[in-house]
Amino acid sequence: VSPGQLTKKYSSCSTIFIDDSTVSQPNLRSTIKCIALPINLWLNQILLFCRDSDRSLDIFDEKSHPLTREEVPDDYYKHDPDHKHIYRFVRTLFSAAQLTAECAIVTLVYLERLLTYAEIDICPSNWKRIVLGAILLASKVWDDQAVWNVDYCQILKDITVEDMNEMERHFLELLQFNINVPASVYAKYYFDLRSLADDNNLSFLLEPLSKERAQKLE
Amino acid sequence: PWSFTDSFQEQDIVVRFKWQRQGIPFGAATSYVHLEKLCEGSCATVYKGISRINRQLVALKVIKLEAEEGVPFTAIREASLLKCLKHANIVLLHDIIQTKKTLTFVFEYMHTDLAQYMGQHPGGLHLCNVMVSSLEDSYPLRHEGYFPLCMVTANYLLVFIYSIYDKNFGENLPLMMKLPLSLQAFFQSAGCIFVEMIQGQPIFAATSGGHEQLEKIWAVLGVPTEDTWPGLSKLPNYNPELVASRRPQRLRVICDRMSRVPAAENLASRMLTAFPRGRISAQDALLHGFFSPLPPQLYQVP
Repeated sequence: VSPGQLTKKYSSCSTIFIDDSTVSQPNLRSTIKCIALPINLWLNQILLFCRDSDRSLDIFDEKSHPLTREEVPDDYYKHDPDHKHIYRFVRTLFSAAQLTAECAIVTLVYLERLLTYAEIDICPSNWKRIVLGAILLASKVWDDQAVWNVDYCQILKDITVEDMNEMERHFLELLQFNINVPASVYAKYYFDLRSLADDNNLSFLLEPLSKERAQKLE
Repeated sequence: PWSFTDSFQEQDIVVRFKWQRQGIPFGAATSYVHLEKLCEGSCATVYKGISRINRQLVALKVIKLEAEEGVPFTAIREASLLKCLKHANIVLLHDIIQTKKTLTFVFEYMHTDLAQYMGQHPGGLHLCNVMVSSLEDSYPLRHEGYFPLCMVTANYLLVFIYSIYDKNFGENLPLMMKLPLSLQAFFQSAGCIFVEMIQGQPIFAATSGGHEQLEKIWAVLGVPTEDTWPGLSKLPNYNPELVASRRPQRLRVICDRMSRVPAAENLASRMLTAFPRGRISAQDALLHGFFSPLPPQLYQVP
């Protein structure tokens, strides 16, 4: 009798299945895929419970501060993005600005902190600018080779540096300049992301552990 | 802690400006009046000012913003750290004002800084008291998990302002000093200042940064090797040919006044140790024999 195809790989005595992401060196691609998840979850929640949420702020609204030159459709606030859409937006920014996986986790910390401190909801009309603001701040204070605000104008061609600066000012004020991420908070977000990925069948890529990979992981 | 009574001039200023207190918000440029320029650095200018909110004197650190950069990351880190640190010996950050072209930190006003104070008291500093203050100040940093963020920066990070209690004069002597701070560098910085306070001269005085600065440091501490600094050769930018090999020297050879202060040389050299993990910790430093003449109550400063 065939045992059938196992949907998940499990380690045995002879083979250890392991991904190459650790808390100190997370895998970039998997992490970015993962951080799109909670953003998506928050959006779904908002759409489920309060379709006409007015807990937003003008500075993050795409209608009044468009990210592209294309006309923003009138029903822009109704289109909820799917996981792929969010992932693509985040990935574009991360690969163009050469940001790290640690930066992605810090981005998520700032995102959640903003929503709590500022008492706003993430919704279809503002998610892009809120995510952009969080990435901008995370890359600035986390990476040693700080990205300047003007660099984001190279990536998203139609935005102005004045707009970025104004958004940064608002973001910092709403966070009350609290950009500190203690090691414990960082680790919590990392492991929460991993279990969230597991629940959503978006596991980190598992491969048999070899001697070379073990050395690399050390 | 600040009192108006010790300066008639400042009292005049307060009397001259009679403002309505209602409706004056925090975070607005109009809530503060600039008085005179105190000092100017490469990225910021400090003004003496007065708050319209509570009529107290303040120090306004004005950072000019580059449009292309946005808010500098050093300024963001500085604000974040200072907001978390509430300690009797660290200056209070009252307020932050953002405009399109400037970022202003509003600090409590201090009458003098450490450099001025050392100048006014040649050979007269009560070092035990000064050092206890600066070591205690590093405590909150260690304990609240600032390590990860600080570790990624090799940049000069923070302006720390210390108020130091000098029991000989029986009065509060608020001092201000500027420290380069990534946490690993913190103790070395404190060590440098410690030596400077004893000797009256900077220990690694270089006119330019980079290589000359390194040379000056190695001339005293000796060039680190794998023996004195495990893992050294794996560090980025490690270049074994950059400096000729040098042996460490005893601090008292370079700083003659060192030998006059009991236990000072030992403490200083343990603070200056090049290998980060070989350096003395804040906790151990406070228990060092150098501080044994101090009354135990001093350790209970809030």
